[in-house]
Amino acid sequence: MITRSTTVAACMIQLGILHSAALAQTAQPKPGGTVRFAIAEESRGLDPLTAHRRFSETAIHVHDGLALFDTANKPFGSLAKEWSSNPEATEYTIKLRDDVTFHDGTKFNAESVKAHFSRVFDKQYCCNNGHQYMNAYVGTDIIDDYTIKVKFSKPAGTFAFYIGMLDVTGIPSNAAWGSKGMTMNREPVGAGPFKFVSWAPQSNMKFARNPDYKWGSPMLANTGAPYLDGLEVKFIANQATRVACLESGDCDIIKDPNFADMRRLSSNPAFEVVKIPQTGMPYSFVFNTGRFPTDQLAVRKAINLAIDREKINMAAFRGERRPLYSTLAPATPEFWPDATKFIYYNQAEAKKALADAGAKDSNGDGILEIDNKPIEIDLYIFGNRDNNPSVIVAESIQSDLKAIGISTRINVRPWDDQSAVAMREEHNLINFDMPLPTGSVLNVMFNSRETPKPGRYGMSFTYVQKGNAAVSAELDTLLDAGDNAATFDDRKAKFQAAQKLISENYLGVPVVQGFTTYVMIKGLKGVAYNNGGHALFNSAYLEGK
Amino acid sequence: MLPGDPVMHMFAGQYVTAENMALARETLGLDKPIYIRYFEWLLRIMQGDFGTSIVSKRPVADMILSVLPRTLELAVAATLVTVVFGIPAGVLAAIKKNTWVDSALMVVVSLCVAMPLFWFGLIALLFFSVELRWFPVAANAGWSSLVLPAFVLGLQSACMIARLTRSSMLQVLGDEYVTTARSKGLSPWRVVTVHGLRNAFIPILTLLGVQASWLLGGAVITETVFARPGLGTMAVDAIRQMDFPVLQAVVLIAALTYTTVNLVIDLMNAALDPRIVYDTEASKA
Repeated sequence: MITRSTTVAACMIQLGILHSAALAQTAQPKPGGTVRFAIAEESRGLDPLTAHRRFSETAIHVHDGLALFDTANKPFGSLAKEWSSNPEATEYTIKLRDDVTFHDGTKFNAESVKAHFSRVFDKQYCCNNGHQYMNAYVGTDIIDDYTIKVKFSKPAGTFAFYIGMLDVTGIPSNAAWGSKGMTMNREPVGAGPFKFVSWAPQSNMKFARNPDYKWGSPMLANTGAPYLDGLEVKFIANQATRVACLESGDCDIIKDPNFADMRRLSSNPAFEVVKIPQTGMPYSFVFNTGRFPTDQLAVRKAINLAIDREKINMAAFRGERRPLYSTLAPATPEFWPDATKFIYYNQAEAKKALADAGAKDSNGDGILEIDNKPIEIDLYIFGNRDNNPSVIVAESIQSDLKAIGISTRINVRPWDDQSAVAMREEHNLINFDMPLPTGSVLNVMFNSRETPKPGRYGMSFTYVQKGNAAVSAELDTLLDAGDNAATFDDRKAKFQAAQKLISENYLGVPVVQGFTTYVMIKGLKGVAYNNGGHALFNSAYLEGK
Repeated sequence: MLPGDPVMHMFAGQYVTAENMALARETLGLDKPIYIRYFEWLLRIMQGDFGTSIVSKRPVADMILSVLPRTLELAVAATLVTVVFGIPAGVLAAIKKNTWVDSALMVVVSLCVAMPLFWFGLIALLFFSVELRWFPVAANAGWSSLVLPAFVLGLQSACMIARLTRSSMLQVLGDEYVTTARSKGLSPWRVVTVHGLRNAFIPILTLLGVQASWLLGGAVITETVFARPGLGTMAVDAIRQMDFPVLQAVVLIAALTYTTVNLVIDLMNAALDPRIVYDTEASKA
């Protein structure tokens, strides 16, 4: 029985309508024109079944998901009008729109969603993102043509978030799937604002306006057909080339220019810069708590207090990021504001923490010792040695730690070695970047279940189960409870308690929070963004067209 | 051998269960021993089947065919730039030996050879596309999208050819048969082209063959800077994404191209210079 209503979602939908009405009054959209949009990496495919990283970047133009979240993580309906769960969050009842037509002319209905979820869990399409995120999925019941019940084997509070992820709930045409099969990955048929036109591998994708579109999410200013005639997404891996494309007039909007160009373009009146704060766990390190000297709480605390994050931001990122003093980025829904009471910059306090723990420099070499063992740490960063901001970050940390008597060895490895380094437990500090839009990222990074093992990719690099079994057990319980919580408030409470435990035990070193950055010509108006930092062109138009 | 586990790479940064990792490995056939996978690949190659990309799930042959014309187009245009600029510059420097023309050409050539291709490409892009707006950035088709990449890729190769042409010509122009040709009253043009260049051409042609493989390597950089699709970009992406089937196919094609080009060059050498005779059973007889 459904007992919990989705008043929040319904209110958001209404607010979204008011928001769009307000925008409609102030803007005068001009129909026509094609926007040329340059991004770095080509999508691996356009069907949710092959969704991995970078999928949503381009697929979002051709597919609509069940829901859409704005940059503040507020939910809005999309293909779903509303949704609610039972108190245990093991069943979600979703009411669907009845006015949606796929690009092939077939109707969207409950069967479309059920068939999509069945494909997601079909072994032959393993292992797409939907499969990962909905791993407790049991099945979908069709209540009527436009109502479904999605069932899980255990509480799945996080589905309230995943429902807004296109790689989970982007629904393609079931009829097209029947005739095209996996070709849908290259020639998708969705229900999005733009229809797929062509894909020139390694070069571009072209999309044309869907004139029948009238079911846009109320999150967007324009819920009808897009104003633009078309959209061309160009794949330009090199940052300098992307910027050249914008400045030469061959692109209208680009994503993620380099830091130097970003500053220059910001001061150019011909362009507009939009920065969307990252969520989850942006640029950070975690400690190996099972290895000396980072098995010592005092050392972990001292390292956190000794690092000048402002300096790192200026030196490595040209001031284009924001110093981070919490495990989760402030824009994450489950962010715990008190985290900043534990992490700040104070070298005197860092020295005191070490002195209180009995650290002293007995041989006068400038490096402190605990129990006659020098405090030396192995810090691992990943990527190239050249033009890699992580190298500057590591050198800055090295110099800050030297000032409090800690020696740092910097190790640079390819990204693919990250798991292997962690598995060999060679690290004291290891770098990662995981900007997911939900606090569930804590489970990935701190749950002992996620510790990497041979043949098993995992990102829990803290080995807290070795460093402090009691803390590890408590943390695992909180994190599992957070992931399985039925309500957002409950999940937030559990994840905030987990952040408190992580902060008290100084398990990580947050460094800086990044932004998803777009630079566009001044004449491009009305671009919207979702919580994944993806650009939406439903309401976009080119002035002067 | 490319180190690493493609399945681990595939899920890097994502939440994934152990069961799903095992399932993905089984689905991709990566659970079999490496020698079995290798022989299966050989067998498929002999049937013209390059397999399916781990990443895009597309047939590798389709992927290669979709970009091969773009790489060939670039390689041919760059070779044209190499020949058109490199050989005349080398000849000019040789016949104007120890004059300011020779010195100026050799300074330019030395600078050009020393210039990193990536840097040169970006400078050309900023000047010709952003400042002058003569050529488009990241355009997908048409001759205008080819000019700048071909010029950048071909020019460095042209500079190497110019240096070799100069030294080769200087050697030939000092030979007695050239002096004889001059004393017979032949025009300087005929002396240089027919008696000089033709005899100096053997090492130039050999270097052009070697440059063909260099062009493939250079194409990786040029394609990246100019955002052009091609085999070079495909190879880099395949390495980055650990897409074994794609990388195997690209390496195979590169090796075949290199071998074929060098075979053609060897045959052309023999055709140009009657003194070159390949040691076959027929020639022994």
